Amino acid sequence: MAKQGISVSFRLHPSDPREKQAIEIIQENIAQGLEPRQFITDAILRSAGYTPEMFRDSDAKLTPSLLESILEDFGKYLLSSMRAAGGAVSQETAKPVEFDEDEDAEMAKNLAAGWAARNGRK
Amino acid sequence: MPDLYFDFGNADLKYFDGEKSFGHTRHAIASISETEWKKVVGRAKQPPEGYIAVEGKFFAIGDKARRYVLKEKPRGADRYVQEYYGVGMAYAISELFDNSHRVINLYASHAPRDVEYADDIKKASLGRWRFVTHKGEYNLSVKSVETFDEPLGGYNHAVLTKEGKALKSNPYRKSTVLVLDVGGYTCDVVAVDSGGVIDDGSMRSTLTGVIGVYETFESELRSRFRNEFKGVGEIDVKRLESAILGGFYPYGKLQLDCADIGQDAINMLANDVVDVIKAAGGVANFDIVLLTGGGSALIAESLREAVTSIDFVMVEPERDLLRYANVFGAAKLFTMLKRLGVING
Repeated sequence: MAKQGISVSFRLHPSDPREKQAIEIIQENIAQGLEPRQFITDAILRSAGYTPEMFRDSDAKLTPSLLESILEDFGKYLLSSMRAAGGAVSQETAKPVEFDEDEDAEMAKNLAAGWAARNGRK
Repeated sequence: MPDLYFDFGNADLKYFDGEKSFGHTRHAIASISETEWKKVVGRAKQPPEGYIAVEGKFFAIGDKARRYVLKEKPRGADRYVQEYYGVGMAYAISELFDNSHRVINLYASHAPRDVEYADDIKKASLGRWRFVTHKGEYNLSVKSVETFDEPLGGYNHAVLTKEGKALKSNPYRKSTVLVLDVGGYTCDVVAVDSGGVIDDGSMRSTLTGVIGVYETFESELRSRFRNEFKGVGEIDVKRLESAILGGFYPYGKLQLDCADIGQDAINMLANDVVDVIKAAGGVANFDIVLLTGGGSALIAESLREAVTSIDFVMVEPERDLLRYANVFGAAKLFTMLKRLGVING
């Protein structure tokens, strides 16, 4: 992990029902004036079992290394969820993943061949 | 160079510019005399909406054509002549584009059984066109014509992106799909195997469609309400369609209850379509049935009730847009074919 922080970037797509729901939640939060960084970090912490109270509690001892470890766990969880859903996953966190633009080349080839055969083209 | 995606259907002419503009005009074209033309144009520079003059001949089109004596509408491949197909195409061009364009590419649909007449579509549309509509005077050339099977237009709408890429997240990717295109006079089918492999031999056209639904419904409506419809001439098909879907025919201040006869008429078509599915191999041979074409929207619910053992999915989730699914899909298909270098871009 980079010492200066990590960049988390991915594209949520509305064709996936869960991701669509996530988009709606993000839009609602932004509409309420919340910062994406704030509520996404909050969600990551919650996914690791930390409540906002624990995060604010000085006794919780949430050190930068602990946060990095939580983020790592969350990243693994995210990758496995995406793979389970059949989506494309990029290991380069700064590069957006765009599901629909990741073409099924074989299908494209078959559809083109089907049209060509019907229309006397090679 | 503008693209026109055009479906000259038996019930409606559907057109799409490949980007955002689309529309439809009821399939009715009446040849009118010069005297009739002058009467409607009057002193205006151009005719009102619903009229077109093409190369010195005059026509009323769509709902306006109903004011004139309509000769029997040519069906199927009989439409593919300049004086008929070309007139409909020219009107579609004027509906979508302004008259500044000099060249148009045409992407035209046909029923699978008319594939051998695809060259007739090209002959009926290629070349220079001079015409006048309510949008002004047009002088342009149809430079290229490509054709496609209507049900495959619907399938492509379901599995391709607007950028002409095959969806990797396509839910039908590993399914054997039966595509049903229910139109005005025909119900066309095609089977598409896993991975988008088109089963060429499965393409069939059966003579049944929504026009039969309207005719049956109108006949029963007149029979039940014979006093109300005594002396009433032709009924606007839009009112029939609305009554079939809504269950009531608006008759002045009254609402004539016709829900049962509307449902009966729909069921008759649905039963025909069930037979088409059986003839295509039956539900045992498919994982899912994809519905396309305007007629599909009318019978989707009846089909789901009649055949519960398979899912029927509309390729276009918005019911009102289902009639355009074939031209929407064609735009995606030809974008893909250009990208792959199968046709010139």
